[in-house]
Amino acid sequence: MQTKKTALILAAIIFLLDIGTAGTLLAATVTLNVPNDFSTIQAALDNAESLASANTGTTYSVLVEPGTYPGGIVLRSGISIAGRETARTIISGGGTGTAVIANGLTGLVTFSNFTILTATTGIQVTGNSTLKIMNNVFTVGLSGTAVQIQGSPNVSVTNNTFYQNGTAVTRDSNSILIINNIFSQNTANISQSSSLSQSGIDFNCFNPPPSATEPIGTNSIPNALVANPDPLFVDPTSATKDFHLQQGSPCIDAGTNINGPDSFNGSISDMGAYGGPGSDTIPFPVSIQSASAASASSIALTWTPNNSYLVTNTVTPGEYNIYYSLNASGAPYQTKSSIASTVTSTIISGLTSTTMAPTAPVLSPPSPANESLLLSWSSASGATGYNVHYGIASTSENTIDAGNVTSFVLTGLTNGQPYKVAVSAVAQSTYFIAVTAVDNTGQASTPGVDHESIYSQEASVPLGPVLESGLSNEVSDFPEAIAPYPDLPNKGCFIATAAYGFYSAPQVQVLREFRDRYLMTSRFGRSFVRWYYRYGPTGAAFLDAHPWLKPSVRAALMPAVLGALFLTRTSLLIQLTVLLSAGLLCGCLRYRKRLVHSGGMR
Amino acid sequence: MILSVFSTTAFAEEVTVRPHWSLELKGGAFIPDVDNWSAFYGRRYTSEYGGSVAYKITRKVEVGMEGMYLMDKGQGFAPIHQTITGSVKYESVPLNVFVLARWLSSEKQFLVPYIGGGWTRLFYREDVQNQGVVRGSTNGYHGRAGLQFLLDGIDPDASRSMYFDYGVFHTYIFVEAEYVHALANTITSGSVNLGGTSWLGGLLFEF
Repeated sequence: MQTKKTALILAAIIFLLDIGTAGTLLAATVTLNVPNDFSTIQAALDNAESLASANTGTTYSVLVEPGTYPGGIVLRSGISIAGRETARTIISGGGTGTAVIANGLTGLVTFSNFTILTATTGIQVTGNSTLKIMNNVFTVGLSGTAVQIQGSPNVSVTNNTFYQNGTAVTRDSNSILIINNIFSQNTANISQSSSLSQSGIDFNCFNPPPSATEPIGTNSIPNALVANPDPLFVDPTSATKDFHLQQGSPCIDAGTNINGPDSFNGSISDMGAYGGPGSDTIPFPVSIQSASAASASSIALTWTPNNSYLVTNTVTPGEYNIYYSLNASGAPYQTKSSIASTVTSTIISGLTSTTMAPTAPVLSPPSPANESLLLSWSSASGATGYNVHYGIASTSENTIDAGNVTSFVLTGLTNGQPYKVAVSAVAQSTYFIAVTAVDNTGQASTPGVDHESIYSQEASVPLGPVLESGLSNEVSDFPEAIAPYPDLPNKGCFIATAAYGFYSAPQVQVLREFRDRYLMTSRFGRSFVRWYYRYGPTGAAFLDAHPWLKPSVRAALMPAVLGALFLTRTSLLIQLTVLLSAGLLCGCLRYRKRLVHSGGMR
Repeated sequence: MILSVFSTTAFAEEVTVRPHWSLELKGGAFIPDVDNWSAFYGRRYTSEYGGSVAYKITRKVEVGMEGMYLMDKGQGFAPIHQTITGSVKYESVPLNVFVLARWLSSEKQFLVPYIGGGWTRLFYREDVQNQGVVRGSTNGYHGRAGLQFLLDGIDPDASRSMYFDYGVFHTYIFVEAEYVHALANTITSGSVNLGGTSWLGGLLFEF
């Protein structure tokens, strides 16, 4: 598959080059997608590098869709790589190793919009690499180093968020830029030789404030104007790790436009992973907390807020979009309504629901199975579900909600007992609802693409009355044990099977159950079963050869069958009562016999 | 003592210039002898695969063991209703002990016909959904015949690599027909042959 796609890409490039018949090379940009074009990030990077070396003049990059990807990724010269959404595009080191390796990179390479989790080293940069590390979140763990730069003076670390790392950044050159980042709750923020100065370090936020010996820069937070450096992340501790900034964060518009203004509103760059021109513009998704029918024509809906200052903003609020469809699940939804992001609940009103009962389905003759009947019926127009009605004397004895299916296995029945069965169709309207968050930039939004989050999980809400059709035609049948084909004997109960004629005879089943529950649970019983398995087939073959013996054998087996029936089909209380009564009877008889022998009783 | 070990080794190399063992990996279609198979299992045949290991008594005669596996899913039978219904999984493992004769006159013979047969122990298992499992075994016999095509000449380099890396003298691709006869009593009436005819193909490695 990869070869095919590579060939297609090559063909496209050759075609583009052919267009330039006047000898003019057309500059082109090709983006390889993970996982759409290549299943792994490394495969995409390696193929991009191969293509780039074969097609000078064309720029290749890699775009990674949201997901969790394993670490150990080796960056390639001239190939930039970006995640689609910072929060949901994760590279995990799995607790050990180096998540991303950059060694000897040449050309312009940008690594952006990823969340790096649990690694000994997040990004290791060596070999005089040229690299821009921007708009990433690093939380590698308190024993790890997020970014380690050695022998590579042409590296910039801008607009990243470092949260709960052992060491956020180590550098060995004053020309390495560390700007517009947020350092929060790291053991050490910036580690460098004492011979280096604070040059290249500025406009960062340090929470808590760094020690006096740590380099900070003159425009970083805290400073004379901003004493509290808490960046006010939305939700850094939960599994979802939302490092967007809340309203009131000191890091908003507090950076410098080293790369350019904020991508979403053009203002001065925010600090952290969600600031600057490379910040992803897709808000964090919300989740529906509850959705239920408020009346016959309205649904009450609540969801978790998106507390980013671009959405839940009291001055310039963003929006929540409510999407819903009647009796149709998933996008695209039939209806969309918007609500200001100052609320996280609403009533969707004016909804319609089904007013006509569905037609009755037609029930086909059932198929028998062991202690069950296999039912199937025709689909009823307008039905959203079906009820199965059954009983011995009447179909009204039991009702089961079968769901929205046209076949059903009616279980828990007694073999040989006829049952009457009918089916009815039910109809109830169901609304399928999802919510998105929209930022306050006023720009055109599309769910999951620009300025609008992906859909929340979908909620389904039944609405209006449950309307039921009349009963289908009534059928009657009885379940029975199924014989496999060919109907071969089991290795047990040879003689009984031969005597009673077929494997699924109830007497044989009782003996088999007795074997499994009593004989196989004791050493003596297992020895007997082994002996029986050895010699039973011989007896069964003899019986098959002399069928006139079968009635006698059946009679001889009767006590064993009754005993097995008693032990397997009665409760312990009944068994104890019968045994006690039998014991008393034996005692009485023995006592009477003794009296008779001694002449005391006539 | 060292000299005696070397001489033993040298002798061993001298007498092992021909392969002594063969390994077959094969698969194909199995057509059961049971009547009405397609009515219960939807088609007249099912897939089968397995392998065998044999010791070559001479270059032309070998004895060995073969194990096959076949499985099919279909329906069962409701005896009182006299209808086909339910869900049944049928599995069978014939184990064959065989003697095989090969018409081989040269190590480089491209086409080698063979014929063989022997004793069969056939194990069966029938799983009726929501009901239980029936299992057992029966004895029988089998015969098979086929053609082996020597692959060594197609790619001599690969052939040499197979020998030096894995000790494989020759590699054949083969096709064969096999018939298994293994009667088992049925519960309701008489007996049935659980065997049938197999059309198989596979690879044979001699080492």
